[in-house]
Amino acid sequence: MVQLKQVSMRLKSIHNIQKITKTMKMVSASKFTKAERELKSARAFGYGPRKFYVSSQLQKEALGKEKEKEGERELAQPPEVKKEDVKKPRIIYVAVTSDRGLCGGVHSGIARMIRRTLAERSADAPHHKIVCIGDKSRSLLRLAYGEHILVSVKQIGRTSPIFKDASTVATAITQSGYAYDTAEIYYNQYFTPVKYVTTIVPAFSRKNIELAPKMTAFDDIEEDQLESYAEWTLAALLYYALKQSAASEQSSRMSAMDNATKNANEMIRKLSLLYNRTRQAVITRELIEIISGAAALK
Amino acid sequence: MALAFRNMLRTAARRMQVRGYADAPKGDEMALTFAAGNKVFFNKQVVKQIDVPSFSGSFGILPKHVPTLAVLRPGVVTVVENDGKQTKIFVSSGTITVNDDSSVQVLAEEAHPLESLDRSAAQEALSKAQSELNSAANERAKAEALIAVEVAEEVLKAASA
Repeated sequence: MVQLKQVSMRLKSIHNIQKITKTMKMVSASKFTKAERELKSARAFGYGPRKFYVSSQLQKEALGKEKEKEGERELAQPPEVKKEDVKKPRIIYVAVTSDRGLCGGVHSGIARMIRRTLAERSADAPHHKIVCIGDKSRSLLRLAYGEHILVSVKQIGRTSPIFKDASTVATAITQSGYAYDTAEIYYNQYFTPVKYVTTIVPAFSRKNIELAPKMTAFDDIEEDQLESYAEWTLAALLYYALKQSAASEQSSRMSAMDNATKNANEMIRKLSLLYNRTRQAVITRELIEIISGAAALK
Repeated sequence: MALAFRNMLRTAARRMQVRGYADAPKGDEMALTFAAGNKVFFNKQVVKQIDVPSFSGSFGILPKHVPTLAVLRPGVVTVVENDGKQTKIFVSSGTITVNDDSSVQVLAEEAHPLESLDRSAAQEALSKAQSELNSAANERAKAEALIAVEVAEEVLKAASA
C-alpha cells in the first residue's frame, strides 16, 4: 500500500518542477527571439571570411552550401594542408558551447563530433589542441582529451554574446603561443527553431593565407597587416559561431523545456489519480474499522 | 482596345525584366557587404565607390579593384551608392576584403552613422582615455589606452566635421 504522505509529497515536488521548467521555457523563448534577431546582423561575419577563403581557394567548397552530412567533413580540409604530409598540420579544435545545460543535445553533439574527428585523425594526435568555449564542452572533453586542452573559457551563455567575448577568446588563443595552421570551429548552425546542424567552419592562420593557391592574384600586403587580418578574422568567425550557437542553444532549450513541462503534466495526472485512489482507500479502510468496531461492541 | 492593353502589358513586363538584370551584380559591378556587430549596413548591395581608412593609408575602392586584404583603422567609411547618395559611417576596427569577383566585404567591430555620433560624449571619452594613458602602468595597458585615445580622437574628428 502506497503511503498517502509520500504520494502527496511527490506530487508537490513535481508541481514545483513543472513550474520551473515552464518558467525556463518562457525565459529561453524570450532569449531566443533576441538571439535570432541578433543573428541576422552576425550572418555577414560568417559570410565575409568564407567568401574570401573560397575566392582565394583556401577552401574548395561552394559558398552558401552548408555541409549537412558529417561524412563530407573531409572536404573541408584545405588542399595545401593535405599536401604537407611531411609536416603534420597543426589544428586547433574550437568547441563552441556554453556554461548552461538543460538544452537537449546541443553541447554533447559538439563534443561527440570533436571526439570522432580526433579519433579519426589520431595519427597526428600531438598536433591537436582543443579550445573549449563554455564549461560544458570542457567537462565533456576533459576526461578523454584533458592534456590537449589549450584554453578553456567560462562565463559564456549567461548573456547574449557580444563581439568583445569573441575577441577575448581570439586573444586567448593567440596569446597561448600555439602556432596553429588551421582553427576548426565547431558550432551549431541554426536553421529553424526545431533544426540545428553541428557544423565546422575553418579559420586560417596568416601562414596559411599566404600559401593560398590564388593569393598571387591579391595585392601585396604587409606582413603585420596580414597578421592582424588573420587574427581579426578569427575573432569575426568566433563571433559568428557564438551567435549561431546561442540561437540554437536557446531554441533547443525551449523545446527541451517544453517537453519537460509536458512530461511533468503527464506525471501529475497519473500521481493525482493515485493520490485520490489512495485517499479513498484510506477513508474506506477507516470506515470499515469504525463500523466493524461498533459492530463488535454491540 | 485589347491589343493596346496587351502591348502595354508587354512593355511593362519588358521594363521589369531589364530592371531585374540591372540589379544583379555583373562583372564590373561591386557587391558590398558592410556589417558591424550591431547592424548590417549593406548586404551584397551594388555600389559605386567605397572609401575606407586602413593601416596602409586610406583608399577608395571602385569596381574591378585589384583583390586585396586590409585592416580597418578607426575612421569614416564613405559609401557612394549607385544613385550618388553618400553614406558616411564611422568604424572602430575591422577588416576589408576585396575579392577577385569584385565583391567587397567590410566587417567592423562597431560602426555607426555619422549623425548618431555625439561630440560632447566623444570629448569626454577622449579625456578619459588620455588620463588612462597617463596612469597606465605597463606596456599592455599603455597600448590599450593609446588605441582608446586614437579612436576617441577619430570620433571627435568625425563628429565635428
